[in-house]
Parts: sequence; C-alpha cells; structure tokens
Amino acid sequence: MSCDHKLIADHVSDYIEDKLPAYLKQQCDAQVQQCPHCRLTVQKAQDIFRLAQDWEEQPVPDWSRMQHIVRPALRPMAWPNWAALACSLLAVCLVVLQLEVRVDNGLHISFGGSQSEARLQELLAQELQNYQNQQNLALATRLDEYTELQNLNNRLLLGEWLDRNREERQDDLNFLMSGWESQRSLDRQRVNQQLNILAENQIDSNAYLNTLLRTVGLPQGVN
Amino acid sequence: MLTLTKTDEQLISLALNGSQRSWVRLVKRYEKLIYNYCLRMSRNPSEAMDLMQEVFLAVYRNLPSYQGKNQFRAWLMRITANKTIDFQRHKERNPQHYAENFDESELGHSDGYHHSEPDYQYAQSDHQKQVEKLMQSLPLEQRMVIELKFFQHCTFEEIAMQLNTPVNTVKTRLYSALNKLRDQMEKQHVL
Repeated sequence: MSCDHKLIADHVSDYIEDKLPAYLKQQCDAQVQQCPHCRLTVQKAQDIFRLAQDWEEQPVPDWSRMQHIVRPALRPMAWPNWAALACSLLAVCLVVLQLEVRVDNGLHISFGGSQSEARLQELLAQELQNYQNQQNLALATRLDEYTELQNLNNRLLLGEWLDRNREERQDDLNFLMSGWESQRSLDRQRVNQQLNILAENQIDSNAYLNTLLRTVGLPQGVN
Repeated sequence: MLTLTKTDEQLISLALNGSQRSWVRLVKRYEKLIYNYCLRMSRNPSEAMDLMQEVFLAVYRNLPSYQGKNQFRAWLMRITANKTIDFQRHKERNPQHYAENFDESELGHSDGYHHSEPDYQYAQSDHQKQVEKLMQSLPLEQRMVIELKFFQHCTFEEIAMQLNTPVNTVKTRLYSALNKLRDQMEKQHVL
C-alpha cells in the first residue's frame, strides 16, 4: 500500500502531543507503522518536542530597560507652552499692526509704518553719510598710525646709520693718527741722528781749529 | 475580588501616560520569553540581547498604535518574529558574521554553540545537541515555525498570524523542516 504522507504531514504536531481524536490517532498509528518515511518524520518531531520540553529557560542578563526610552511623559500642555504661544502671537500682531499696504501706483507693502518715500530716502542718505564718516574716521586713524610707525622706523634707521658712520670715521682717524705718529717718530729719529752727526762734525772742527791755533801760537778760543 | 497584578493593557495605558515604572514591569513580564526565543534563534547570548533590546525598542515605539484587546503577547511575538527576520538578514549581509562562523568551524566547534559565553551552559544529551545542531541548519522561516509550534505551543492559526503567512504555508514549512531533519539524520547514519 503506497503512502502519500499527507495524513502525517497535516497532523504530525497534534499526533505527537496526543491531541488528536481517537479515530485520527488510530489512522496515524497505522500510517506510522506501515510507512518508514512517516515514521522518521514523527521521530524527528518527537525529538524536537523533547528538546523543547527539556529546554532550560535561561535567565536574562542585567540590562537597562529604560536605555532607549527618551520620550517625555504625555501630559497636558504646560503653562510655558501657552506662554510661548502667547509671545509668538504678540510678535505676529506687532508685525501685522506695522504692516502697511498701499495700492496707489502699484502694490506697496511696508513693515516700517507710514514713512514716506522722501523720508526713507533721507534716512537712507543719513545712514550712508554716517557710514562714510565712520569709514573716513577709520581711514584717517589708520593713516596716522601708519605715519607714526613709518617715522619711528625712519628714526631708528637714521640712528643706526649714524652710529655705523661714526664708527667708520673713528676707525679711519685712528688709522690716520697711528700712521702719522709712526712717521713722526721716524722723522724725529732721523733729525736726532743728523743733529748728532752735526755735533760730532762741530766737535771735530773745533778740535781742528784749536790744533791749528796752537800751531800758530795763538791762545785757544774755541772749545 | 482585589487584583494586585495589572493586566498588560493597564500597564500599557499607564506607560503611554508616562509611567516608566509600568513600562519596566511590562518588559520584565515578557523579557525572559523574548530572550530565550532570541537565544534559540541566534544561538549567541550577546546577539540574543541585542535582538531582544531591538524588539522592546520597536514595541515601545509602536506602543501608541497598539489597539489589541488582550492580545499583547501575540502582538509582541509578531514584532519579535519580524525583528528576528530583519536581524538574520542583516547578519547574513554582514561579512563579519561569516568570518565568525568560519573561525568557529575551523576551531572545531562543530556543535554550533558559542562557548565563549560562560553563562550559556546547560545540560544536554548528545542526542539533543545533535538535534539542535540539525535545527540550526534549517532556513530561518522553517526554524521559526518549529520555534513557535514546539517551544511557544502556538496553534497553526496563531503562527500564521504572527508570520503573516497562510496556515497551509505554515503546515508545509513545518513538514518540510521535519523532512529536512530526517534527510540529514539519514545522511549522518550513512556517513
């Protein structure tokens, strides 16, 4: 007898949990005995059923049950919300009350009250003038600062140049004086030598004259 | 008669009105069920914790839209099933998980357990381990049907509602899962 396994396929879970009516259970029993395929299917279902029965519930590790909960409590709207709403409405009203709409010569919408075009131009010119004055003042101040800085730099540069120039001239004069003094020393030595020679010649001449005078019998008059 | 224990709906109503304590009580009521469900699906305690937290986060976000009457558990299990499918798909798309599985098999942990977590140890016979290992080889849809049928003791109608599939599809998945387990068992006997 061939088996299409349908009976077991439809009722296998109820069969192993013994929830089938008696007549169906008998049919399934017969099917399981006759068909090895169905028998193995039931066996696997029983294995899993036992596995589920033997499962030991694992305790849940400690965890923060509120860690993802960031939603604020649902309460009626508190007074700060009403205050914020009132402030917003007041701000809107202020803007609306200043609003002016004119349709003469085209649509004109302004938020600045009933200022005329000439008055607006005057205010604009005044603002521009103020802005220009501020710019001029800022430029003049900047120019003065730059001039002062430049003068200071010039003074520093000139002082540096004068110092360098003075040092150079002092070095030159020192060199000139040392040369002049050495030359003067040499000249003085030479003059002294010539004077010595002249003195020696004079002494020799005097000695010769004395000798000559003694020879002619005259008394010695030259030393 | 004085009832000390609040119903799910009462706790939900209080939680929606800002009572964090009620929310915590509701979570504590079901966290063990969800954690063990996730543990059986993922076989990894840390992944089970992640999955459980995602489930309760989704529950909290969708709590205002909960309209059920005494059906919170079914609603919760439906969210859990959806989150499990998302989690599994994300895991399959993530190459890191493939690397972890590969390392585990290379190291000889062929029973499918993650022994790195010391708190996840319980007595099982070799036969049970073998059956559980075979269960892990099933596709997720079939495994979820087995989970809901044998571990959660749901009816086929309840499973169909939770998985959003027809009852006949649920029965087919269960039978296919059993056949697959049977085929693999026969292959192991041959080897």
